[in-house]
Amino acid sequence: MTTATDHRELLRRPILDFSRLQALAREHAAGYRGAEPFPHIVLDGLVAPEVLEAVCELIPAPDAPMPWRRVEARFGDGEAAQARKLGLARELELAPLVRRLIWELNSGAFLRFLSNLTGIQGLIPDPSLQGSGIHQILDGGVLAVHADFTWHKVYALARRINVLVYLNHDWREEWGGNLQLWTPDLQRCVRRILPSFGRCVIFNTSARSFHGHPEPLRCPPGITRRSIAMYYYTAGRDDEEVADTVATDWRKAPQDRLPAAE
Amino acid sequence: MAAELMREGTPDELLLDCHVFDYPRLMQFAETHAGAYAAAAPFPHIVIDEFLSDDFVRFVCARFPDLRERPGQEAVSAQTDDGRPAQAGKRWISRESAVDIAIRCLYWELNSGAFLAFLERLTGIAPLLPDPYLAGGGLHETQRGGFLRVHADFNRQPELGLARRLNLLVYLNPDWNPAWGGDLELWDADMAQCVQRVPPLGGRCVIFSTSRNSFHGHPHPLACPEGQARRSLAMYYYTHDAVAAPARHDTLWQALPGEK
Repeated sequence: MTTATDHRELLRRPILDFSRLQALAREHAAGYRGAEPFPHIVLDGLVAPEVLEAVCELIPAPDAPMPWRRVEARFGDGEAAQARKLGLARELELAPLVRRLIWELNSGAFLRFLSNLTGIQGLIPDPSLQGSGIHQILDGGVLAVHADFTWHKVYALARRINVLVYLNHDWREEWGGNLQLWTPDLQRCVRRILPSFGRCVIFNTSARSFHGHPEPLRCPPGITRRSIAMYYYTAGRDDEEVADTVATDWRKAPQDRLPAAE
Repeated sequence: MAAELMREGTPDELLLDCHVFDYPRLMQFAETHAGAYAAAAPFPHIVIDEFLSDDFVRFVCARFPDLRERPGQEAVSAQTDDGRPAQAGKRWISRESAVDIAIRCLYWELNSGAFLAFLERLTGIAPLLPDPYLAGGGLHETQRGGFLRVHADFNRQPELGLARRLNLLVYLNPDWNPAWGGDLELWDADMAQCVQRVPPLGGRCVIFSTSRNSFHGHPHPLACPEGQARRSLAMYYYTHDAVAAPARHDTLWQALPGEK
């Protein structure tokens, strides 16, 4: 267990290694843009492990007196599309280190890294953290396969990139909760990614970037599936015709032929 | 007006906490002063003294980078349409990675959702977006003899396609002598007279709505001693056109009445 003093020491320098990020962007840009089923990358160790260790300790428990938003959604037939998912985006209620990490992930230098990696220029952060921030899924929780809303209705901006950072030590495949990436026609799950500690998944969002973790979580008591989620926007988009949606597009995806988890 | 808007603590503690301002007080201040902001002449603005405390300003100044190492910074948009120098003796640095982490933390807080909510409440302009790239903003410094002609700012973030709506300036001059000049001048829309003069005193914050008529500058050569400089931190805030769309223009340099 680190102490508050240690956290202060972590805060005395940038917590993201911005010069390393620029090298990573150069190294992985082609791989990112050519990735199937849609442009994405899985990067382990994007954020220094000692920072994420401290962040893990600072994420409030599900029963902590915090303004967790509880988000639930159902398909038309009543089946759960989103269940037992908690979100926390009130930055002033977060510990300083967590707030700092969120600020650095919304900083100009990080946005330049994302532009260099993805080729998407003119990225804009969401200072209101709508739908983003800290996510925590409880035992039994699901997040059905879906495409995210593509249009930020408050700012009138197009949603372009998701960055997810996982905070789950010793996550076991049998607990479920692996991030699935699906083809646009929802015929095939191309990747199944363990939400392991320190792993970062970055992907382009469109009306067809289908992803989720639809298997109900089976984790032991006291364990939750935790992540930091950040979304990035542009003023308009010129990449493809994307229908403006202000709500999540939930889909049922067959779970009988999945690729190996990685 | 002076306002107790900061939390208690040393500058180091406040910045490491990523929590410099007392947000309930900021919101209360915005509530109280929104009417005066909107009604201010010659265009909506407010001057907030001790926005940053004296020890906080000194803490930031101790980390202010040496901008003399950056040749070429004076040349950009340095001429008015009729060929007069538009600004002189001025240097700036917008790239956040070039400044100390304490200053970056201040940028990030001034671009945070909680701070934007304060600005929205004060100015009535919403929903505001930050510019994480600090285009044209960041740290500014004017040397002895330097000036910035009266102008209306460029109104479009060059990379993001957003409309510029607000300027927030914080002066970082803890021992400023008003006799040195460098007052921020706010001029009326037909450039007939200077309506407000604001000496750039340490910790003072000026927030104003930017439009094609929000003419401002410090047009007279600075009379500070050699080695002193007029320093400020500048943050600009934006909205998307779908919310409100002013016509596009670049910096609009203005002649003073005697120069016409």
